[in-house]
Amino acid sequence: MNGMIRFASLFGAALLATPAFADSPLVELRVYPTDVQLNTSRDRQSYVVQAVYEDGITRDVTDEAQVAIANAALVRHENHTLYPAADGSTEMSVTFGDKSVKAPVTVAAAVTDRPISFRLDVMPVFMKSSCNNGACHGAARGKDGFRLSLFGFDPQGDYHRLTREISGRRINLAVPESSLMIEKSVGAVPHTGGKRFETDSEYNQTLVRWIVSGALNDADPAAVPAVVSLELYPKDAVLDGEGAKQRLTVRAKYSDGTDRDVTNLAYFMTNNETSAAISQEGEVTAGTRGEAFVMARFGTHTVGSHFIVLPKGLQFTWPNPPTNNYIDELVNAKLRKLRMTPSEVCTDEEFIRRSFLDVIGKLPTVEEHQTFMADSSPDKRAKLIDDLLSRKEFTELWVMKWAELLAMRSSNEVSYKSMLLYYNWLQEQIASNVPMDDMVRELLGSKGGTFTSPATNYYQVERDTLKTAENVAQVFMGMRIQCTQCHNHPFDRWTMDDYYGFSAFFSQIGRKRGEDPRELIIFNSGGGEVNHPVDGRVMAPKFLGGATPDLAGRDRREVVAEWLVSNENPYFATNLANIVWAHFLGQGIIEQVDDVRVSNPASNPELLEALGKKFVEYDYDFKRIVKDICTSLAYQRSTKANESNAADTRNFAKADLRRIRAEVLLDCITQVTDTQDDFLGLPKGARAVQIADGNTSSYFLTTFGRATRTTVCSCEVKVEPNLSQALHLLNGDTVNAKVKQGGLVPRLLKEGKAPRDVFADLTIRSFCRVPTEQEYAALDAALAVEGAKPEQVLEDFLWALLNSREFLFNH
Amino acid sequence: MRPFSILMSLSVALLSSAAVAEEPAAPTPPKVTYDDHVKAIFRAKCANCHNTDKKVAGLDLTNYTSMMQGGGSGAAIEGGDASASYLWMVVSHETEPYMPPNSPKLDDATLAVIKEWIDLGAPENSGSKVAKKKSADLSLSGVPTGKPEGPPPMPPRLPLEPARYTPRADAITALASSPWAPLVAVGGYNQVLLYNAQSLELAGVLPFPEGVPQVLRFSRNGKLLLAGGGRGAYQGLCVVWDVTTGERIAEVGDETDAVLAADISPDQKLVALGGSNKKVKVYSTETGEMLYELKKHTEWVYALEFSPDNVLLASADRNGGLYVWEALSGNEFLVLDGHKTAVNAVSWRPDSNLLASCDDEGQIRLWEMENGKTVKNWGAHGGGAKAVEFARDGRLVSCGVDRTAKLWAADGNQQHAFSAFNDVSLDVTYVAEGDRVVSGDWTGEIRVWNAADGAQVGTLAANPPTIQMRIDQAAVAAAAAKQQHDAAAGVFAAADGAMKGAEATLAKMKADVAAAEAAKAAAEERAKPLAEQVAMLQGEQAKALETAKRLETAVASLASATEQVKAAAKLDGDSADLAIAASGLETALAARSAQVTAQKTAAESASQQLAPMTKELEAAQAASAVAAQSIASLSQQLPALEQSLKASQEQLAAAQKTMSDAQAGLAASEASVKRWQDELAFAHKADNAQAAVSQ
Repeated sequence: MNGMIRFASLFGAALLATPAFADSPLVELRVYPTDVQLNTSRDRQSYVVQAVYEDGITRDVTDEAQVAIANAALVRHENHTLYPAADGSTEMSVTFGDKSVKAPVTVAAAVTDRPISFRLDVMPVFMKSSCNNGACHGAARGKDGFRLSLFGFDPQGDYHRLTREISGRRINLAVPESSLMIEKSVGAVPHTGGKRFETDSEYNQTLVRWIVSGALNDADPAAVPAVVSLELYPKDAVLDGEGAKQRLTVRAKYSDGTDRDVTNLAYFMTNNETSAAISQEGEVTAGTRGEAFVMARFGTHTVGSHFIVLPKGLQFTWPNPPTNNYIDELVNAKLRKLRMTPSEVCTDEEFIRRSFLDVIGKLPTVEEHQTFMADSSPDKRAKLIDDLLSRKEFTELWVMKWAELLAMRSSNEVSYKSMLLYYNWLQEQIASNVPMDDMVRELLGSKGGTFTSPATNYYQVERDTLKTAENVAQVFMGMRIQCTQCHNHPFDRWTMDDYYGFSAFFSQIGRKRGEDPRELIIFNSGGGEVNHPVDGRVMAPKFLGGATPDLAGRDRREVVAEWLVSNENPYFATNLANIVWAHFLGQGIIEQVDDVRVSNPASNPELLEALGKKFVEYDYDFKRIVKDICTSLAYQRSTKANESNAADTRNFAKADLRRIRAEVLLDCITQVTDTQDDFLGLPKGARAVQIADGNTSSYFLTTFGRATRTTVCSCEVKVEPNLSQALHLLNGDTVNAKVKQGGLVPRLLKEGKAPRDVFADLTIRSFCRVPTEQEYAALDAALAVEGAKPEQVLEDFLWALLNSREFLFNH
Repeated sequence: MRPFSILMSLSVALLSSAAVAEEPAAPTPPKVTYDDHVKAIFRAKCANCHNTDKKVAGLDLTNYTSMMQGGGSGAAIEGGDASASYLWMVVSHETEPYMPPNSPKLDDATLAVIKEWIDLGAPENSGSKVAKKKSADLSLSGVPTGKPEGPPPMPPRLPLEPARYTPRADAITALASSPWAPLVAVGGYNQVLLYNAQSLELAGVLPFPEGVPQVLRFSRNGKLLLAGGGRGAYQGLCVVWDVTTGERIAEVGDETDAVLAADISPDQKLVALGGSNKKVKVYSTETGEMLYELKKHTEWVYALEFSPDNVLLASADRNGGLYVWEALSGNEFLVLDGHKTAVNAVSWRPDSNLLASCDDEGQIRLWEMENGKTVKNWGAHGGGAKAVEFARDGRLVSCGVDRTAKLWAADGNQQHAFSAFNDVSLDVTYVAEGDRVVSGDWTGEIRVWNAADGAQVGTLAANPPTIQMRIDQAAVAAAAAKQQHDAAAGVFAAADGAMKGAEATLAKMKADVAAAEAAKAAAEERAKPLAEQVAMLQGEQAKALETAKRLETAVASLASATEQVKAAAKLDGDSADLAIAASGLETALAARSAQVTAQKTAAESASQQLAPMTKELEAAQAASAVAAQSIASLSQQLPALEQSLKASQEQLAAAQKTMSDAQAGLAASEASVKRWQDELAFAHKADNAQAAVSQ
């Protein structure tokens, strides 16, 4: 016996001594959950043990750790799971290597069985087995004649359909295992959805046990404890090399104070299958280098854990790159965690082009280029940003962005005049740098005629109560709650209750015709409620994820607007900060910017939070946050990747190559070719950025994905390249016509410039850099061709410049 | 030409005169009219679309004539019957499209006005003659009964061994009763149970190893029983048994999912079935070939029935689709448009002129077969009507989500709502032979009621025990009876002993009483002469003493007289006279004294005689008193003793009855054991025969 123990410990020691871990000493041992509560004989709790090494690597040591229960009579310990044996309290101590950790264990009602419940036991099986997802029985019309509510939003209806809709078919009370529901699930008879689980699985046992006990509904559905929180362990992990594994355990806490191990009932998902694949048993397997958010869903709750996967035995030295401000510190902290080296700082030429395009939506002129390049002061980049922020084009660019978010577009319902007044109002707000919170408060609480009080257009553009609520959530909180109109959100915590509770804030918007038939007057009607579609009850207005406020004598919209911009709402500032960040860095810290949800976490939560805080600190002064971003080195990185960050897309280790958005691109072509555009409702020579109406467009703008502003979605602006864009640039009437029309080349030649200088001028205009020798050589060769006219050749070269990727992309 | 016009004018005159003649008898003008009441409602609520210019759906409600012409969907108003009027159906939200659109239902008062108006015959104004439309004649007359020749088609002796015993019964999905015999069929897992509707006893078990029957139908002559069903998503078919032999005579269909609806035609040549593949398939029973397939249903086929005249076939689906086909050809005959939710059952009236259907909204609709119009519809079961069936006499039975089975008169008036189940009632059938109604619910309970008074007469088990279980049960009962008997015998013996003891005690006590009485009598006898003697002696003594006393007084006076005489003599000197007188006196005195002494002596002697005699008398009297006391005490004990005796007797009788009851119970149990053993043997034999046949 003694010998065996020694042998076992030797074996353990040998394991420990394997090189992967030998390098880095064990610094911490964690056991999850940190406390165990067993209630009723049917309860159990699985645990995981995680070892943390000095280099940050974590390892699942559940199998190897020594687990001892102080009072072994209280629990049965089997397969990393504790089962109740007798009532009392004790302690579980876990030892691995030279570390040990303890977790309290309490057992109550150890010999009392918990009766089976349709809602607590049966419904989760449908979720786990994907019976009620949208592709199967959760579809609006069900599947193969049988419907379940999508992700189980309507247990009462599901109970009815299972048991009473076609009595005697789905459930057989006499011979439970011959119920069609069972026979299909275990694959005993053909099932379009295939076999969902084994006959001897716990899922099947649950269903059969429910039928054996009479297939009863919960006597009082309101009394069934609800899940109040879900815990997924471990909360984070850093896995060492492909094939490394980490088990998860999921615990649900209920409103009656009990908890349950729902590892086998939780549905597992990952947002990065190639880096961290997860099995439905809750085991993560590391894949290629990267990070992943691994999630568990149970009931209406989704929780996630952060996983980083590193190449096996990666040797990494953090280069300690310089930082300009808090943004750099936070971005670098994350990169360090990922063992990634950020790319180099971009060149001045890259910076001037990038910052001009991003901040004011124009290219620098030749003179601006020269001035900047000639400046040798160390803070010239910051000075440039300051200069750009003070230009009117900065305002115009952001007016355009806001016009997209507010869906400014004339239509049959919204007159052009109305829309224009709305646009002008917005422009005034932005130009006078009205703090964002004030602007939003005015917008949402607006009252009066759409002509006299243009902010009220917000409620003319969208007149549907539910859609208004959806838009507010999407634009100002970054959340898409649309799906909770019909069912609980599958990947977030929002339920139908939340949706209709939030919508109720917008149920009392009164609208009536003004004297001018084009004018609509918005007022607080003081009446009107929102009913829950499943059971028809009136929903009290409730902030999304917040409290149910006292509304006595108040306009509901004012109340919700105040809450929205207050500190109680954690989403407002960070959402705006994220929108700004995404504009400059090419993608949001949460991407898409209006898709904030549990299952789409921020790639750098600390950074997002810091930006949000700063925004509040700056009193929602837009320019200051832009300056912080543009002066950070994270913004000023080169697009060139290095070995460690080549695969990164989400952590701002290198600059993103971004196709220039439609309006800016057209403006740039116009600027480079020295031409003018003529847009409806604008003076000749105005920029595409200035177009007020989403309904006004041109073939070029539409092709390059200008937002139609019919919805508030960030996906309205399309920057994906496609064939018609390429064809339009090559053969369309924009580039070629403008090259001809602008007469830039003849004019420059007429000024007496040599073709090479003209070419240099053109290159600086479009690329912000002087031509390379190779390019000069190509020009020379072209000019040397027999009969070549310099004007023709240079115009061809200009055409080529405008068609190049270097021009089309912001880099 | 002229004669015709004359005729015309004549007839007009005739008519008008007739009208005039009828005038006094005419009913009082209707209260609700189009002009006075309804027009205003239609103007306010409907005229925006249904006006002369717009005429949405071809309907104009702004003037009487065009209104009565109806719209694109046919007549809007059936004067005299609101429930059959399309307009009423849409405004009362019985049928979609709900009117007025996108608005709440009209308020109840307004609806009541409209209903009353239509029911009154939809009069235009107070002067209108109401040609009260005769509401559909729902009476049934002259129906060919189709009663088969010969005795009622009852099954022969059939095995009573269930295919499988389950502790819990499944939901009652299939229930049917023979039209000509007191026989009820109940579907269960792998079997069809036959019950005698009169005795409520199990009459046979027909194996259905293919799965669970979802539908059961007796043929119109009651000779055949058809079961449709199978195993979900695996196999579906129909099986036909000959009721009178219990033999499986046909298997029809080979579906990949359980059959949900099926019927056999009255001529027994066709079997129709339908299910989740949305098709109705009709097979020939002669060849087993499929004759045709109906593909018009857009959802699962839930109900099917051949008309009793063999001409038509009605089929219904989960989407509210209800069609009538020509049974032989499968050509479409009528589309019955009205149900918006799943149609759960259809049933033909025996004359084939009326079809009943019921749906998940709880409506029962009656359809005529001329144009396929609803002639009657009513909300029968809140939450959904699961089954409806016509009885032979045109009445209807139905059941549904309201947990209640109901019996309706031919005109749709409720006759009985039977005692409610604990869960949704799923199927119901009317047993013509015995006038009983049988219904089952989701929990598997089956109840039987008298149709006449609605009283529940019993239940049927959907999960009858196995024969072995019955034997075991009977054996247990026998053992219990025996135990009971033995216990009673013990009680009997004890009671008997107690009674005998009490009797002995009683006898002894009675003897004691007699003895005491005798003793008393003897004592009294003895005391009587004694008492007389005592009395006499006492009398003598008293008399003697009296005499002595009187004499003593005389002696005293004599003595004093003597003294006086003597003294006088002395004084007188010895007067002789005096002396003589004195001596005379002395002599007299002495005589008298002697007399006194004698008397005293006599008294003394009497007294001496008296003392023993008195003693004797007292003894005798005491003896008598003792005896009397003893009698009194014994008499007091007597009733209690008699009581206890009576109790013992009763106990004895009770024990005797218990014993005989237990004896009878034992005999019955033993008989039951024997019977079920016999049934078991029979079932085995049948099994073996079956096995032999299949080999």
